[in-house]
Amino acid sequence: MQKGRLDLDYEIVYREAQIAGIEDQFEDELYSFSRLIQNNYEFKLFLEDPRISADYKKTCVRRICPAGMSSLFFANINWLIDQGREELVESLAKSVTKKLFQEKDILFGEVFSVCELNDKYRKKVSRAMEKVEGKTVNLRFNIDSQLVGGLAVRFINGEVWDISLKHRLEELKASIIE
Amino acid sequence: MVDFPSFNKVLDEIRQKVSEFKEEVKAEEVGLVTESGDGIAHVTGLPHAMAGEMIRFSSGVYGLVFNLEIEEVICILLGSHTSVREGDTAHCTGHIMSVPVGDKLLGRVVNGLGQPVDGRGKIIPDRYRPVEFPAPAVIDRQPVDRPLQTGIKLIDALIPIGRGQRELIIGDRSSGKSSIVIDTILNQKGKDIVCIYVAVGQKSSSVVSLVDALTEKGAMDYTIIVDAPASDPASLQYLAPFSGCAMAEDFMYCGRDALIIYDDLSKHAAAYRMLSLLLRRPPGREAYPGDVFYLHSRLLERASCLSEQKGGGSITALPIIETQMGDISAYIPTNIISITDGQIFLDTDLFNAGNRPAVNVGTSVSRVGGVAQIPAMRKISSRIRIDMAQYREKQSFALFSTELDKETLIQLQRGKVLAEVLKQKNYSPMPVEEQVVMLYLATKGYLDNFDIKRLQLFESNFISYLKAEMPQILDEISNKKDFDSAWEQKLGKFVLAFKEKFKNV
Repeated sequence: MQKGRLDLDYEIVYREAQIAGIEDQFEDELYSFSRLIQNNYEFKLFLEDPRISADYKKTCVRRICPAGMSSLFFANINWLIDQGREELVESLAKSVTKKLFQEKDILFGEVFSVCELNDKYRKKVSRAMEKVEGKTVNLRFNIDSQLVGGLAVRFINGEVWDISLKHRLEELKASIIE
Repeated sequence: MVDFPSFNKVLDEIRQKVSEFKEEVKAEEVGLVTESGDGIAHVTGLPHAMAGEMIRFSSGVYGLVFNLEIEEVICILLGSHTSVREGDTAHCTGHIMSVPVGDKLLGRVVNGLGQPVDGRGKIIPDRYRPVEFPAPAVIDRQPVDRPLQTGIKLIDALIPIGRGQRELIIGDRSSGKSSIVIDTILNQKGKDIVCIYVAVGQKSSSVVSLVDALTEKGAMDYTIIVDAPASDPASLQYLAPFSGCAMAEDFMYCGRDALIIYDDLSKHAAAYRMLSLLLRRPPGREAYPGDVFYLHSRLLERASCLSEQKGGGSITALPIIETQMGDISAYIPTNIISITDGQIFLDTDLFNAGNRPAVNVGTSVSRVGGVAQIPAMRKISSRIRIDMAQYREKQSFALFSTELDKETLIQLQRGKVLAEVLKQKNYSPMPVEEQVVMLYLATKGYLDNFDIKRLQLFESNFISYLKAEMPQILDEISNKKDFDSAWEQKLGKFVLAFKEKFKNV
């Protein structure tokens, strides 16, 4: 499927959530589920394996998700499972997040750090980013042990602020090779 | 962020299940695409593929096995041919091509595969039916003797069509072929006849206007449109009439009456010719393959009237053929003429002269004849044939002579009146009881001394007046299907009274 077509389809999904008045909840559910898949390779393999029946996959998803999750979330995930396009969950989540924050005129970003940041640090990072970007930002904090140290901020518009140790080491490596 | 507290528990269960999984070895035939292009794919490695079987390619596109050769099978692709490439794998499905059928399709526009193309959502069908199916056996049929009213006076009176009949509509382009079938569809409203219109190789714009016209008149409720426009691959154009027929058959075997229109079979034959040439089948006359007759005969033979033991359902088929310069002796027209139970020949000259429907009564025929007419119409129609024949004979004679005897003048006037009464506007089918009344008046000379130009006005006014003042005249025909001398007297008196009033209109 072409990307342009996908965005068009995702727009419809987002509008559906908007009509139901649950766009924030829907985005949060999709984002959390997508992170769950990204962080668990085994689960990703399970979802994308064509030999496993769609019904079993749907049952497992239903059991994993806590009560109170929207029916729109299940309808979309089940539809992707039925179509054998489970790999599209992440791009669906990304597209819905982008759409939601675009409409709110907020810059959305993900902060990756080696260990969990406390509230004080989180606020500090948010303030710093708002200053740099010149607009309201919404950051979600995730853990990435491969960074070695420091942190990296990836905004949805493609902008990256990487002050991780991993990045610096790579730069150092590149300069030595030169 | 949402928490997933039971995630680890479920993941453990999945791990457990995976560790218990035992792989089974299953031998399967996997074909390989060796050549693909122009909607045709050559596949090797499927020695057990059957003719007409569906083949699934790795890209998800389906194909239909057409040729079984020593080393390979050749399939026509039922989708985008660019998505099948050399080296793709292919599997036999073990199924022959089927389409969705049943009431859920009513009011919908579908393609040759039965998939909706009207943007009104998915169709969840009651059941599926194979597109290729043997025609009912002789023992399962009964003679055609129930009329299928087209609502067109000329056809219902002179070329009657019965339920279960195959009547060809043939004529040049823009001679009013499609208008006849649209009128026929409109006339089936409230008569429990399901109509299926199969558009093969038509312009999409024409199909859109047809759908609009049917929707506006409330005829889509009992109609299915199978659309294989000129932009569709030849494979879908080839399949569309068979798919439409499968949908009609479902109604027939459920004991209901169906009317199917193939618009048109000359384009269907051209699509089949294209496929056959690409499949390298030997070309015959006009480059059509040798089995083009069988293509249409097996399709049209499925139209029939089933016996009471089989439910008594019927399929009436109205195939359309477009001729070039009125040449009905071309290959496909002669084939279809010989297959069908009669033809309605539309003449461009008549059309241009303002006679609409432009049916050439001389070359048109219905082999079912008066059996498929209600008794009232049967009584009148024999007189119309004679009057019209005399009129045509005298008309050519009158061109050379100015002095004519009184009887000839009467016959000429009667003919003119009849020709005028038989004219009918588009999209205005007439109920049979009204047809009987108007044709009765014309044949019995009630309209002889009438100004021809005012006849259409007279007709519309008279029918509305009759409906309002003496509806029992029409009711008697619709109930008894026949009339007697008392009815004739009543109508005679009524028309004379109306004529007096009409003078002042």
